[in-house]
Amino acid sequence: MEDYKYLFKIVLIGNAGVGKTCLVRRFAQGVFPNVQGATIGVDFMIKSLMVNDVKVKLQIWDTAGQERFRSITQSYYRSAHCLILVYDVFSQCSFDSLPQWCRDIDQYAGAAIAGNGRNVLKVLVGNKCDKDREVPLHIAEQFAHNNNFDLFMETSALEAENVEKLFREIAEILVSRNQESNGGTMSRSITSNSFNQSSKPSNCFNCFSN
Amino acid sequence: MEPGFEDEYDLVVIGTGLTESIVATACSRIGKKVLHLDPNDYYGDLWTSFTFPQLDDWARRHVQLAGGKNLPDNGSQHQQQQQFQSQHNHDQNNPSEKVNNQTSNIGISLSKVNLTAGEMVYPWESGINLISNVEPVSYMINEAPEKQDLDKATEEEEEDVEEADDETEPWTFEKLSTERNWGIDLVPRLLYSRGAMVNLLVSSNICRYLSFRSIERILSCLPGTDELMDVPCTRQDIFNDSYTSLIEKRVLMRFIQLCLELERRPDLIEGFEGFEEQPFIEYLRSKGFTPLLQHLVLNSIAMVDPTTPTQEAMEQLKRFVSSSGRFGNTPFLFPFYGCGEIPQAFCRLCAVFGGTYCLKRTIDGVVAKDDVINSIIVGSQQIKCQNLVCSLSNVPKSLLVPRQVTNISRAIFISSGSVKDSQCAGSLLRFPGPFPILVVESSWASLIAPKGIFVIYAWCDSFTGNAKEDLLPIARKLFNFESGDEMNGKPKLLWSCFYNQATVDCSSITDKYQNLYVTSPPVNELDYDVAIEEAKSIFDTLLPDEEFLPRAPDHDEIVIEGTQTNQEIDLD
Repeated sequence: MEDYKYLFKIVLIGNAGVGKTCLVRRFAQGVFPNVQGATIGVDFMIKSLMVNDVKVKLQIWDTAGQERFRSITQSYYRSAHCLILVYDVFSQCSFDSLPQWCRDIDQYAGAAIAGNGRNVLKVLVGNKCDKDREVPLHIAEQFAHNNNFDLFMETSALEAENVEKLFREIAEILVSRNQESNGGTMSRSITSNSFNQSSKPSNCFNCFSN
Repeated sequence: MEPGFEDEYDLVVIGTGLTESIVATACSRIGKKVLHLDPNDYYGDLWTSFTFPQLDDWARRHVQLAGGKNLPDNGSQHQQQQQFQSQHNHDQNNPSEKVNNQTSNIGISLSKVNLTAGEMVYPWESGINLISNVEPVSYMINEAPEKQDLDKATEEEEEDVEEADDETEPWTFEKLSTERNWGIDLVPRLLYSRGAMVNLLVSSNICRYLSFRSIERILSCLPGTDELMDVPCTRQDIFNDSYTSLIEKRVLMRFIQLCLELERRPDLIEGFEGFEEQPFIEYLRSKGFTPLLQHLVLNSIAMVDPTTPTQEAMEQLKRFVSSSGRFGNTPFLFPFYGCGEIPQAFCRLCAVFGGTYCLKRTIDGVVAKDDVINSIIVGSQQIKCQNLVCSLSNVPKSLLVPRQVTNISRAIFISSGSVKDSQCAGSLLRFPGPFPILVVESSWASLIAPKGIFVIYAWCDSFTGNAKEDLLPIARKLFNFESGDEMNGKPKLLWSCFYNQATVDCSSITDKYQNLYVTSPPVNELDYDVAIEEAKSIFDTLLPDEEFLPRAPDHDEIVIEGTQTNQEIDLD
């Protein structure tokens, strides 16, 4: 019945209101939700992709509102392959919270991938890049670089900009990591090369390419 | 500035322990508005799973609270606490800071509180401490340098043992502390694979947040020895077992067969007639069970005492047999990452259905008229609520009626080896006696400890009033305390902690407010039946006509409305 080769768990975190749910919905359903609080009853969404002729299922988890008072259950991070930390480019405040989120990632996500000896893929996303910005691109790039993010992108869930690309790149990295580890090598530099092959629009870069 | 809570909730719940979390989730699931707070900075209260540094901090904090030394050793023993201690809430990260906050917040909020006629404000003091006699001890080299020479002296003897292990570098306190992959339970449990918790998790679909590993083996300590044997649980095991004779195998096989029949035909009492009210041991003797078989059936399969009436023992047997063979050799499951995942799984579903969560926060006061709480005060906010559910440790002592307290003795052992030669064991072991002791072994294979590490839990109803006195004899049977006797095959103990946990039945433990419900602390049980029963009973009182935790839909069953693809939508 299940015909996919890989299933990856992707977890979104970040301040309330930065558009995490909209990103997921835009990607998984191709829509932009206009009703706040639509998260109720929705846990995670699943979307399948083809990556190099391999069928990949992405299971994308949303915070269920527990980020509002910074009370996300530790178990939320368990067995995640990828963490997407989202801020709002229009909100300096959401950017200023990033260090705190990074501490949470270090504390909980380390244990999340116990056993397979690999760090969880860390992705930084500046959402709402359709608006005027408060957070300059180069500041965010610097932050992503300094905090060892594997990938950084600016997206607009509203205009569907870079959303598909974001998840596709994540899927590609995860697949290539898996194929590497099956082949017995687990080198990050190889992974980063696969980044470089993809074409880069102006507001999208990968931390390792510089 | 921090966002505030809404002005009104159907239900406010204080404490994220299992029972409260089930109530919160059940209410949220059927559409009630729930605010769920916990003064701790972690989920689960006593039902939590800690990392090793968290556990060590927790233990030291309790030693300090009890007036003990900063660095405890074997000397610090305290009187048994048969009464509630009126200390500050012990699980605060920083108790003194919290108290200051509370008073100042009360000061601010008092001037702002909206009172209607007859309403009064009552401060909500921090609750009672349920933990006592905490004694953490490290047996690792860097914690006890004087032992180093001893270790060196025996190093040569150890060598062949050491080489067999993956881990050649000795474990140190620091090495354990820097590892992040921990889930050490304060209140460990096993789940019968067809027990109340598994059934609830499946029927509510909360099981999607959890994964389990089956417990590989049930062990038994042969009477009068320290020797542990694997209890044969399946036909194959019985056949292969080297402890039982051919005749014993046949008796045991027939008995298991009978139990299976019992499961299929609950009215069947054939073979048990006349023994229903008799002690179970009488039944076993009459059927020709040898002392070894009696021991195995009593302690490992039925897990009852010899004097337990046969009828009751049969119920336990059915429970065992019906859960056997569902997921593995034994009837038991243990959650990956520790039992602390279970309350979190409930909280997650509660949040998914709109529940609001805030840790490091509790209520500072209530506004009540006569015996009804109308609203609560959190910081400077006054929040209307219809009902309030609190765990016992979050209820002011002044609201409680006196009750007899039961003291449970507990111990956590961290070891670099299994209690019986295994690389990644999950085991259950029961020591009989007037106060039977349960031992659960879990390991890194359940992702609760770094590779090569085993965590062994023991607990019983306290008979001396002190956990260490109750459980040390068992610990000596299972572990090497000294470095000198490596040859006896027992694993080396790295760290241990003894503690007592008080529990009390909290139904109608307060009569001050009619819309305040208090949940009981964990009791001495293997599965979660008591906690689920209590949560369900509170839910049924709150919402008598509603369904308790109906199945939550899967992601692909949800139809989402109100979507549009156009622009000009303000997200905030």
